[in-house]
Amino acid sequence: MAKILDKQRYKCALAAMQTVQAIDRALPILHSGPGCAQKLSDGTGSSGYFSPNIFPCTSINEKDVVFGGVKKLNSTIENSLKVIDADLYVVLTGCIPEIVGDDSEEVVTRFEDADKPVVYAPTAGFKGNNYKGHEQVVDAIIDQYLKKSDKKEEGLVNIWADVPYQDLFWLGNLREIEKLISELGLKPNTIFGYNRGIMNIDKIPEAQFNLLVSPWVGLSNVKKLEKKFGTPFLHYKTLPIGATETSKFLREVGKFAGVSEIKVESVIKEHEDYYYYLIARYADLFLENRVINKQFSVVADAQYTLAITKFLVNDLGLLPATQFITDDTPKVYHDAIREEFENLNFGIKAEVLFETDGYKIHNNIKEHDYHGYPLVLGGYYEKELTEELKGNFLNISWPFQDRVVMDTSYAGYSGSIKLIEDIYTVAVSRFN
Amino acid sequence: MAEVKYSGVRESHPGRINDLGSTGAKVEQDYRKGCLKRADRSFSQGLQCQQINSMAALMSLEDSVFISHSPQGCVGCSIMAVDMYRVGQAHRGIKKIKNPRLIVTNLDQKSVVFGGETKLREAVELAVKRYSPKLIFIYASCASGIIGDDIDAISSDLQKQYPDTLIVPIHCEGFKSKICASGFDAAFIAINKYILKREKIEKQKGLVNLFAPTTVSYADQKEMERMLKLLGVEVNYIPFYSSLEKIKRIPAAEASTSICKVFADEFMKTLEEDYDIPYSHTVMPIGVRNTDKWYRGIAKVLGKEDEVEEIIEQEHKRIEPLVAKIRQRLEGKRVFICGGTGRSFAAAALIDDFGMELIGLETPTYDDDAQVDIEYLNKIHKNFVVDIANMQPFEQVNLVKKLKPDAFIGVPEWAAKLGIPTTHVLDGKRPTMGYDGLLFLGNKIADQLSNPGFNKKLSKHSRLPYKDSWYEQDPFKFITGGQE
Repeated sequence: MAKILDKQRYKCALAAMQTVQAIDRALPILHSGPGCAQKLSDGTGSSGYFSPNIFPCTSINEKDVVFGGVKKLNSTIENSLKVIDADLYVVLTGCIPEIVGDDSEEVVTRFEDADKPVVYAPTAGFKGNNYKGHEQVVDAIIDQYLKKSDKKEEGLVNIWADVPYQDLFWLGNLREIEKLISELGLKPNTIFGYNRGIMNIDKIPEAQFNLLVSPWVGLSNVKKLEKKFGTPFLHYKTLPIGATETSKFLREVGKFAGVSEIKVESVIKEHEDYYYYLIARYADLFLENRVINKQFSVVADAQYTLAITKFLVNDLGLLPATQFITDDTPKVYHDAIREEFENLNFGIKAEVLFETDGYKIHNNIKEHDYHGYPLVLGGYYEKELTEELKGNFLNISWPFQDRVVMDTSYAGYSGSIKLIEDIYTVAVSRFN
Repeated sequence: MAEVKYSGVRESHPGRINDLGSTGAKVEQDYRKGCLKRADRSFSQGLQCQQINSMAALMSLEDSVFISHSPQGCVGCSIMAVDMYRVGQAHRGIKKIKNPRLIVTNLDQKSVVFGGETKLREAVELAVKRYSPKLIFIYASCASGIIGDDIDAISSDLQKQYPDTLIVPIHCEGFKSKICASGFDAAFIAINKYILKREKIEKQKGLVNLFAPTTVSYADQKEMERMLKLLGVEVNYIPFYSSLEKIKRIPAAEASTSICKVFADEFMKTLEEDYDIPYSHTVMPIGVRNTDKWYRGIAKVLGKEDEVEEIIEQEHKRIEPLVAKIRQRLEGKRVFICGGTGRSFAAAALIDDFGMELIGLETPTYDDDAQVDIEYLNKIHKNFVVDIANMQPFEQVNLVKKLKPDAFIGVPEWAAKLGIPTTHVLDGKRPTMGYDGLLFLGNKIADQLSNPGFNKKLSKHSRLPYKDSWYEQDPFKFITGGQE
């Protein structure tokens, strides 16, 4: 049974409209109740070419509930193709049509011969959250749009990471990972963000391999790609933040792709030299215990909880209190993820809880002795908590409210410097 | 005689319609002749659903837990409510700022088959155990409505189990209405049924209920309270930032009025029927004319017609020179307005203070209330388009591109991308209402017009997502049915 949520950390599968939105010139068409697009949108950089209020929507009413909304869906798709200038149309269904039993898939197949591709993903809110919805949209593109290709391009790497918009830093992170991959002499291919879009989607089958950078989101997608196109994949579980993890990441990708060790090490050396130049210049800030305390908790999805825990422990020398994973990670992935937390430097193990209940998380944090003011990196709900505890708070996971992020990255060497800046800006602007 | 009770669905109001393309002159005539019929669109863009309004109406009540009986996505935008509530507390000088307590039952596939009753019961139990609230509001959703969960029966059963917490179910299923303001009515119907229960209490002389939706800023609250206090009354400001105690005081009032035209208008009728409380329902107090009208309305109910004229005269003396200054900057500018029912008409009246000309008006519904406003606007503005639409930016940009206004008032994103200077009248954080709000708003519009640079740049470097052919077509071509 899906859990009752107090201070929830994600949205429903239909919020995969944001995954579609992250693909340049791809348009979600919603077959749903009237308010869904508005409820599932965020004020975090979504007013671009397509924005939630312009998404075509059948806005199902009482009559459609009784008689079915198939006709309305048909006219909405038909007219979307006429009025809106997109490259890819993705029909998403919400709760109502899936409960009343509209055959939406059949309606979508009527548009097989349309000028532009129209695909369909069943994303009813009662079936799962937006992490699942994201995978469904990618699946829909693989299954319904991509064609087999005999052509393989040496060095071309499809990069997959976590969920756009749910992850505030999705754009910056992807660009940073692309940059690192390019420096190894490989050709990165991503489908999200500026100037990628359908052109890059078309290249997916030609890749040498798929690189998945995520603890679990997208694993089913790269497996599907392997099955359909025979493309192998490298599953790198940790979003690399900081020198330790990023260097490890580059070595593993280099090895998998057959890049020479000399090349890999020279890329690493250049980055590490500059990284440690910065760290050394500010060492006194990190060494002074009066600025922040040693113990911290991260409250985020598996991606950030794992990535930030590793960074703060392995690079900054902090000590993990309990870490919380709030994305309702499917049980099959728990052990593999937990193992990562038990494998930190100096034999340090972090306790990790897979917990979607914000109330329990807050109680846990309140009861723990952080040996001083806690440092909490989490969702906006933790602001209230850290104010109460006089702790330091940085909003790094959904929901977001008190920061503006345009294309900031926390990934890689330079991203980790930005994360340090953000954490210590909070610390020095308080009177702790 | 069986009583016909208001269902909470605003479409049920006789003569009220949702979808129409017309002009000021034509719509006035057509409405008078009874030619306007309910229509629909064969192509449309997303709306706001009534559940959002039901939530927003109550989200700042103290000692409450809000349970959305729905799948997880229905509270996807809750952070907006969290933000508003926190900002509202900060403005009110509250030191220890709280989040609203919001729980979602997270209906899943099993609930769709077997019903969601167990989940709702668990959620209520959780809410009581964790927060011991005085109030629990249960919001219905599309999903809970269609699978047929009887939230009334479940609530009344739970009420016996938890006598110290008032449990209030609200029927705000999104698919039931295209007019999101229906959600306000659903909330008030529930308040009357489960909290006030038609029990009459002792009247308190000089007490006035002032109903305000969440989008009214604290600055506006203070301005409205200031004006009412000049009439020598005590204000019960509800339900925004109020409490169970203040809600329970509603029946003690001598009169009621509301800041927003579509907020508590139906409820005030009920209050008159059930508790003999007269009310004033006029306009939203934005701009000199509307503020006067709103002010006179409530004064009349209180029998303070002479006093109010005196105050109005003084207020006019104070602000008229300041308005004249703004007028110099705005006179003759052609304006397109898009907004909710209350604000769109209020903004249309406001621009007359500054000598601006209305060329287009987009508003979600048309009814007898709108007719009164249109009759007034037609006397001032000779030629303006009327688009009865809940957002529908594709129609809006088509119109704006053809009409080429000097200024756009409303949700700015799309007009801005056409290079038109834009301003907002929906500002939950800054002043808008009353005599002082008017000055703030006027200066805001004028400042925006003085430097249109950002919008000009934006229009040069971004494109709206419509095919070029769309702009050549009739903006209203997708409206089906309607006029006979």
